[in-house]
Amino acid sequence: MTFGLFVDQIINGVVLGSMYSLYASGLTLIWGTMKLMNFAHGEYYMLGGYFVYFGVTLLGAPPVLSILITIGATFLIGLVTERLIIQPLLDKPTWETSSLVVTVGLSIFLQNFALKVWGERLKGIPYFIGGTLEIFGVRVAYHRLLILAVAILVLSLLLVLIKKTRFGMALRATAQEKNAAIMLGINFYRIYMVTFAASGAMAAVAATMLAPIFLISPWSGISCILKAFVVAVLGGLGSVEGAILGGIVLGIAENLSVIIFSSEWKDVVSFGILILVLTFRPSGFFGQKEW
Amino acid sequence: MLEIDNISVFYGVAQALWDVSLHVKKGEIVALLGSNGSGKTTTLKTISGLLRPRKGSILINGERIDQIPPYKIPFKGVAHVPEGRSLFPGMTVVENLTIGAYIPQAWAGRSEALQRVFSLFPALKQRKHQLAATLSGGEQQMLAIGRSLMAQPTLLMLDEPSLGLAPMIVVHIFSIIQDINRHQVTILLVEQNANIALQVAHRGYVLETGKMNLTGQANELLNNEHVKKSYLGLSEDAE
Amino acid sequence: MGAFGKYLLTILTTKKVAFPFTIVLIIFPVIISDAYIIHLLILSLMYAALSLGWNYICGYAGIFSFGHQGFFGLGAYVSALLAMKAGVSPWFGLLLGGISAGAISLVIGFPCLRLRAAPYVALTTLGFSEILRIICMNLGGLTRGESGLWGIPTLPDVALGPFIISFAGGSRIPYYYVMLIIFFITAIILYWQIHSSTGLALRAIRESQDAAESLGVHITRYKLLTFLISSFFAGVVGAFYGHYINILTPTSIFNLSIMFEILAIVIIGGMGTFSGPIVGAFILTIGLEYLRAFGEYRLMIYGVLIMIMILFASEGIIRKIIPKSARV
Repeated sequence: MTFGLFVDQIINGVVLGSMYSLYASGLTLIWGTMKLMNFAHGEYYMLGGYFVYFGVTLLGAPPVLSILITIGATFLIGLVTERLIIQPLLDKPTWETSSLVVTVGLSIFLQNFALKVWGERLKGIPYFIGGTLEIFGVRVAYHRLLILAVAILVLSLLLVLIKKTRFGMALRATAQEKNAAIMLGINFYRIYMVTFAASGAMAAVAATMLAPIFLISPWSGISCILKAFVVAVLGGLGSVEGAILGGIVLGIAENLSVIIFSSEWKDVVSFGILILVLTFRPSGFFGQKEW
Repeated sequence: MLEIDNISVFYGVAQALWDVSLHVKKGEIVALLGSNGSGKTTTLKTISGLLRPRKGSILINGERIDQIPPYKIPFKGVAHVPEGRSLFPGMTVVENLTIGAYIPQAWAGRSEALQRVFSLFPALKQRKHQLAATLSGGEQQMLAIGRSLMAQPTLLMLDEPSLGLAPMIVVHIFSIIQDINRHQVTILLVEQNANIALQVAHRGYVLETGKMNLTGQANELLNNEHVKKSYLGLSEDAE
Repeated sequence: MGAFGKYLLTILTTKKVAFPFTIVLIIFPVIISDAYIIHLLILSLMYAALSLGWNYICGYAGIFSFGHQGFFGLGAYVSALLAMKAGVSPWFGLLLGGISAGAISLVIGFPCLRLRAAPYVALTTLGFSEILRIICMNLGGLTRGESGLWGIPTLPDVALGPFIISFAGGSRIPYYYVMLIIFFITAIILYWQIHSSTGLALRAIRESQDAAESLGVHITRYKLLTFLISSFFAGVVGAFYGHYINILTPTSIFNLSIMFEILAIVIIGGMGTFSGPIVGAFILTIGLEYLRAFGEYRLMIYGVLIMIMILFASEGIIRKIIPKSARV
């Protein structure tokens, strides 16, 4: 193993990991706020991929505009789905299981919708920026650095939103003590709707950045949600900081493991990590003791 | 100011309150007494909208509030300090207070409100950036009360503020409650500690197993035989 | 549908009706032997057995597993490979498929002993199932991976007196009866367990693990026992499936959609009831096939139906329609 290969894998790990962080943050945020395990989370990622594809190829819009359109569209779809299928279940005692099943139904619907409407042929878009840069003797594509930059931007915005804004405080209050939050005038229905939609939008952003690298298909969401689960648990369900750290750690671990095992065992590594964490330290890095 | 008219409240099929009525006039401190399970907390929860009365009505300044969603109640000037405080454990003292001013009409003035609360509770100012979960019992109670004041309520409801607190701290808290009342805040006080509640209140009500049993001026109740036997004797033991 | 539908469901699920339902299942192929319909019924029975097993660990013991498909797939591969590489009779294969699934379940059950909340258990079990899938995919030399394990032997002929029941003849009816027997055994054993002291202990664990523990209920033993039993049956069904369709691929047999269907069946039928999974299995499997009329929209409608059913009957059909005393 050369030093160059090592560095290459670390950089790839960080870049890919930053995307893991991005979509795992959304999933963990929804869990922390409303105790919902969103099984349709991957489908927002998938939709994001398709929207950016349409933006770039059909509308001929520049990448930045396509990404913004994608964010807007997935956010809207998130709002609508939350209102239609999640909110009615909130007051019922079977919440934990019925919310899970309804998102499973949504997932099935969206996957097959995409299959019917857009077909199963893989779709791709060109890199947003061409060219490469040399770091420590390794060639890194500018696009990958862009991915990292976007991840840092979005995640920073998310953390600022959660920690410093009125909405973010209301979100944390609702997550920590729902009744007390209600008594302070916080409309938790609205909080849930926005959180759900924002989570989907973040997954969509990840999809826009990864679209040039991994192709888009109706099943893109499956690998997304499986990774998101692992990262969210690793970081501690409910903790955004945990998801951020967990994503990077998993990305690097996966890529380094490719050096030892071959790449077809990559997913076994991530699931293995998942099981080890759940067996010996279920609260992950920063999670609550709620397992 | 607050008028509760013959409300009956159920938890599923179990009835908790039977035709309960009470009223609180502007500027008063009214104590709602009763032992465990008598329905005191249920009454406050119903006023706050977390429960809905199956019968009867609740009015604030003549306006019905028993059918509106619970998160709209603070807009009517009502604040509720729940039993057990219900602070946000992962947030600091400042954050807990700030979120107290959540409603739009209070948000703009939150810095001034914060200063007012700090002058009322200097101990909180010292622990500004401490997590709420790490405060002592008395400090948590102060924080809970302080948080409820951030939105400038006209009616403040307190559920068992003395719970789990040492006697000296209870006295301190209750003197602050009187202070708050002097600043034109009407207070509805739910307490098991009838002794100290009746010493600060103007009037009182006694709930027993979901039914309103007695009412009167505070000093009348203090001298009432039934109250003395059932509630004042109890309260002495609790200390 | 309305009132008639309610009446129909009442018939299907009250204690008085379980017996007639059983009779119908037994004599059905004598009356209708259309291969397609028999195939549908076999699938329904498979899902009924799988769902009963899953309902047992989730609805009764409160373990929200998301890896049931792993036991199913493992049983399938073990039996198929033993038959093809070691010449083991598929009849033994059914048993061995179940046993291997049961053995693995003890490993998988171990982390779940401590975990209680649904998502944590779900992710652990899902992780295990995915690992099994990837192993089967990568050990190409053994399993031929995604190219598929073709030519799995059918169940060997059985001699009943002067008659020989042949499974290789192309008729599905012999398979139907084998699956029916598997289903009955599964249902009977689980029914017995649920109504025995084990079932009581499980319900105590489900309601409050701490309280149950303080009352002396041996949590570990019961949790592992439930896992063992339900995964055993899943493995048997899986082994059966391999010998029925004669080809396996990791993606098809360890597919999350199998888990989704089990989930939908149990939740829609009614988690924690006994007849719920059975009724749900038949409704969903047959219903899904009827949706074929909608062609490419089929699965989309399936997804929408799941959402609609959960929104309007989130406690399950059985609970919503049948009063407790009348249920099986």
